[in-house]
Amino acid sequence: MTGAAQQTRLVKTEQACGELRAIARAALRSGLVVGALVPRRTSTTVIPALVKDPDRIGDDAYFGAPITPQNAASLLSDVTFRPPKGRVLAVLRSCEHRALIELAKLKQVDLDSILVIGIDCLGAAGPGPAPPHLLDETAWRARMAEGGAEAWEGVRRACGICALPAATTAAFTVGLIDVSPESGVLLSVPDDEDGSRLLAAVAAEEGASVSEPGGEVAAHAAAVAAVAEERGQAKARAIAAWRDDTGNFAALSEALAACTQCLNCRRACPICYCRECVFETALFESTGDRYLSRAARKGAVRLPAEVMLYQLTRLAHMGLSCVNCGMCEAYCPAGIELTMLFAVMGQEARALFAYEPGRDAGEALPLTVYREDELDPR
Amino acid sequence: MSLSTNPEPAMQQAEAAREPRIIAFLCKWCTYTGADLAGTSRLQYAPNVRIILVMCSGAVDPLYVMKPLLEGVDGVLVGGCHAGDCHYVNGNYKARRRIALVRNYLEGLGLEQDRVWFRFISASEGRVFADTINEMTESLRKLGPNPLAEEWTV
Repeated sequence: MTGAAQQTRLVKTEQACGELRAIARAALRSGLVVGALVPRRTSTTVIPALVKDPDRIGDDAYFGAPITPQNAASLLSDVTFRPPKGRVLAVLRSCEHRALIELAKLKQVDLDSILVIGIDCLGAAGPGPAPPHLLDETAWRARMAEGGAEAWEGVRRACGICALPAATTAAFTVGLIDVSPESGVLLSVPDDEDGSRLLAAVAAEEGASVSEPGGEVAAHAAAVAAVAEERGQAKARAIAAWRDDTGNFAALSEALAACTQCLNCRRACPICYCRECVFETALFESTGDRYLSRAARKGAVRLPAEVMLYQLTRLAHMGLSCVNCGMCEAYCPAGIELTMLFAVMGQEARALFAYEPGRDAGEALPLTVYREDELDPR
Repeated sequence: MSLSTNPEPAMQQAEAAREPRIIAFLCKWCTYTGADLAGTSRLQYAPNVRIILVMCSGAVDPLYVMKPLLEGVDGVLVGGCHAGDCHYVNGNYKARRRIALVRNYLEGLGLEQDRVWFRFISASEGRVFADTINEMTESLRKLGPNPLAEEWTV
């Protein structure tokens, strides 16, 4: 985390790619956490699971896996909405940690109940069977070590324009970009009791070693900055292209042509936390005659009738908190490019309030606060 | 009761003459009472507005501002109490942010943000209310009809 003093070490295990498993076991064994959110590998994907016993973190534990069946922030809301006694460890990529912070502002998660280790990410697949190269941990670590902004085949489209490859919002981080698997991983922890305890516990793990890093820290920082820069440019280009092609009502209604208003996007969205969305209520139930009178007014009425209103309402309700994780698009059975709608419209709206979702848990949601001397009328 | 297929003859006539149509969400404590005062004071103002009473401008979800515009209404007015006068302490300030957000989204999609007005009008300002409606009607007349009135896919 920027500002606070950090201590950074190279963690290496005898087992290839075993570092994150060792760190998670160490966190559990040291009592820093009482549970850990563990992505467990299957033949086609990973299943997020909560594990209490460090010895049950086996070789199928695939921390940082480039596969996100769900934004993990949603799962942590389930676990901490009624806070547990003790903390839960979660290894999160940037979009997941930023969503978690937004959910904390919405009072849907308890941050004190979660120890977040932020992890580097160059892109991750969404739901459904993942391609084999993403399930291969060795291949993934080699890809991370390679760095570079190019998105991996099979990852969500949102990842290709994500300019936040490192979860710098977290106090604990694991750096993988440009760090060779032979050297291990870069574990950065705060220079406080928790941080020192974790480092000591990792050093005590069987087969794990902790050492002072050399040039890795600077190399990693430079590689992360390079990815961020290149992805940032890709994002700017994508936004400009969207603005040219889709940034108006007529084109947007074209883009939403296949929408059946199934509400999958809102279910997949980590920010959409309402138990019952207003679009699931009877609010928009109408009578046949009213449909016909709408049809008479415009010559026709599109069915389902509230597709545009639904997307605009989502923008109004959660657009300011959107972390651009792209889960909405990944879950859209109609293949609608929702990522760009939220990236573009959201960015412009957030600029109104100089707000950046997930930047800081202490920041208030823009629509819950006000300043007397702003906007019109006064 | 069967719903008429022609529920609002006055509105349809207005459309025929391409007269601007305005939906106004007015807070019970200030602007609605101001509108009432305009009426009891027999002030004349443009008949282009349909008023919906809300308890507070802060209760107007962006959804309710966008829905009429997507349906083809030419303008939406939200009226609340003056700065510092909100019956619920700060609903009007929060409304101001929400309206700014909606205007931003509409503008971003090519609809003039001046189709959405937010005004502070107190219970004693019947005159201001009447003037606001006249001014808004005139401004919308200049803007021309809402293009979304013809967009069946929206």
